[in-house]
Amino acid sequence: MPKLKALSSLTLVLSDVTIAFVLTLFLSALAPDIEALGSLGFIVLFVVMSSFVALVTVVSLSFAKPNAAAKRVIAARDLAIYLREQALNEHTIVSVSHPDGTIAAVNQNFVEKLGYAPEEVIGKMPSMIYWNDDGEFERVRDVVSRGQIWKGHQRLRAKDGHCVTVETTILPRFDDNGHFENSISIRTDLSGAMADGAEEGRNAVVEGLPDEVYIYDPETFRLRYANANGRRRLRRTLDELRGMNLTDFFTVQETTRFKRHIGPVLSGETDIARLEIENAAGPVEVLTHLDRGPNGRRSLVSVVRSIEERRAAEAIKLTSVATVSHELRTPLTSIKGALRLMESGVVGALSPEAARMVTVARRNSDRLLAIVNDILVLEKLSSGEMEMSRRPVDLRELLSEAAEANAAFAAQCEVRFVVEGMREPAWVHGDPDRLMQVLANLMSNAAKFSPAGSGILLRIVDRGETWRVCVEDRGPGIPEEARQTLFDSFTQVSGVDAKSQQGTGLGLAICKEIVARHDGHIAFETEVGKGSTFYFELEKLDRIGSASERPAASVA
Amino acid sequence: MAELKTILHVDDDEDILEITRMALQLVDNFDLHQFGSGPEALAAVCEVKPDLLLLDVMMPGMTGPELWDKVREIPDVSDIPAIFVTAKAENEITDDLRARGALEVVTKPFDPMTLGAQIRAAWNRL
Repeated sequence: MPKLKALSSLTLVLSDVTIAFVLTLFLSALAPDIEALGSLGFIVLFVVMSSFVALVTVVSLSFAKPNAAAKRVIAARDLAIYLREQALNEHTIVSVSHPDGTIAAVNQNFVEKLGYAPEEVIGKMPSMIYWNDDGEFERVRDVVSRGQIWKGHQRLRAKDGHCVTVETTILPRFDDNGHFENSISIRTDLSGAMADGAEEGRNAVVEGLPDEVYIYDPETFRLRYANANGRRRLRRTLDELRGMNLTDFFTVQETTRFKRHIGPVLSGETDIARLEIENAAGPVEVLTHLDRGPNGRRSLVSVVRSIEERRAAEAIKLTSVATVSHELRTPLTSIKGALRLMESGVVGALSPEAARMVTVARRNSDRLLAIVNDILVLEKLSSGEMEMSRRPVDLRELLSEAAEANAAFAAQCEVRFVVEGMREPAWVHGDPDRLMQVLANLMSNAAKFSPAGSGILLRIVDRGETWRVCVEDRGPGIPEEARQTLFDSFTQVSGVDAKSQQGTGLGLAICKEIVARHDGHIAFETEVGKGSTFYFELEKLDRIGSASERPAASVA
Repeated sequence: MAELKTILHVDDDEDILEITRMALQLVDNFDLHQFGSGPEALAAVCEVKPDLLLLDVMMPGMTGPELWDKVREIPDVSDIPAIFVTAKAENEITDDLRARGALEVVTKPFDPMTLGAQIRAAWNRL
């Protein structure tokens, strides 16, 4: 620039000197005749002089390259417009529409934020990307076609179905004759900002919770967040955690088990997965659910809560129930004994009516005893007093034995057990007596609720890492309202006719406890009017390896 | 082994005594001597000279096993076999009593119709 400046200054000086010199020359040369020429001569001289000066000016200006400055101004203006457009393009979702309203062009942001390829939207009406088009599109178009700018918030539907909240400005454009030509829509994605805002608000609440909270990617398990108590357990700062996966804190076996545990949550089979873990610091409960943020990003959220106090309270409750149950056994001995003696006739003959009443009383005293016994079993299982003596068990063999042992009961219910053949043995590491108890329970339930003459299918399914033992009935199915609490103590499905007398309401709670003590899980699939399949899954023996060497849970 | 005839039965629950008596005398044919507490039974044991002791485990004052220990200290009756009856079905108690030489452990509630057979079966194992 200084060079240019010097050049133009020099040119101006030169022009000035030239004009002055030429003028002096002309004037001195023509001086004697100026007066003789008169006014006409003066005008001629003036014209000549003017032209010359003009010429000199032009020459001097051309030397000074006056168009370079103009070009710079224009270039700068073009650059500013380009940058502005670029910035707009980079930052916002831009689309242009034809006079008929159909989309004419979209920018890269449109493609990225909404997930539609250009060819999927070009030529279509913009209402296809509106979240719910309740005439919104027509209202907007009405405003814009009148030459007004439309501004407002909109909810758009991305191709994958998630909602994108945007702030929209739609500008109308007119041709030279003032006819509405088309419109440009400029949209800013607010979802991210809203998600951040929501996350901040949520985190502030979650941060101070007494429970541990972990938020992480459902696929990679990469940690997105852990609240203060979570970080305390992991002994990491938030920054350190963000580069880590949750599974970094697990052993290989724990990772496998955890992935299996949350499988039903990821597949949508269940909303929440619950796991109880015996930690060195005390028992904890882990509740995991899938969270879909405002921006549609999926996260798994695990809440780890100490259940030490609850366990203690449960233990006290169970112990007192168990004590009462023990006390009940002595009077029950007398009641049952007396009824049994009367029923047998050794203490004298009874009238048929009296005999029937005695039978009713005796049957219900049996049921009372069954409840008392089940409570005691449950208490022993819960308190850990009942030891599992686990060894290699072939589930295939166990299932056949169970079918044989319960055949009499099935006959009583007018049903039969059908064991599906299986070539391979199904080895697990379990307590055969306890597993038999689980099978007997599931099978007797199925028999009780199956229609007379039907078969109950017993089979083992290879689930990859686990064996699944299924008991499939053609019973009435389990009504929706009973499903949640089915495995709780003292739960019985009401409104369903069981063939024989009712159970204790503790059978499934006992099954659940036994299966849990085998690190397995028990569940059911049911359809009202079609039947139910109860199943439990146990880890395959070849996968367990040296089970005793498994380290204690380090986290979660 | 001689035939089982005389049984000394101890239980603190009167109704259980009654049911047991019915079960053993009506269904079976034993010479049954019943007592409501350990000390009473201990005082009479030498006179009764039973073939078998049928003892409730949980009794206030003197438990069944404590009574058994005392009887075993009396020379005349020290080798009388014992069967225990308990409402506590815990394996440890059962195992412990068996380890100490108990002939059988019957859990309450028992079936009065088969109690006699159960006792005879245990006696015949001697």
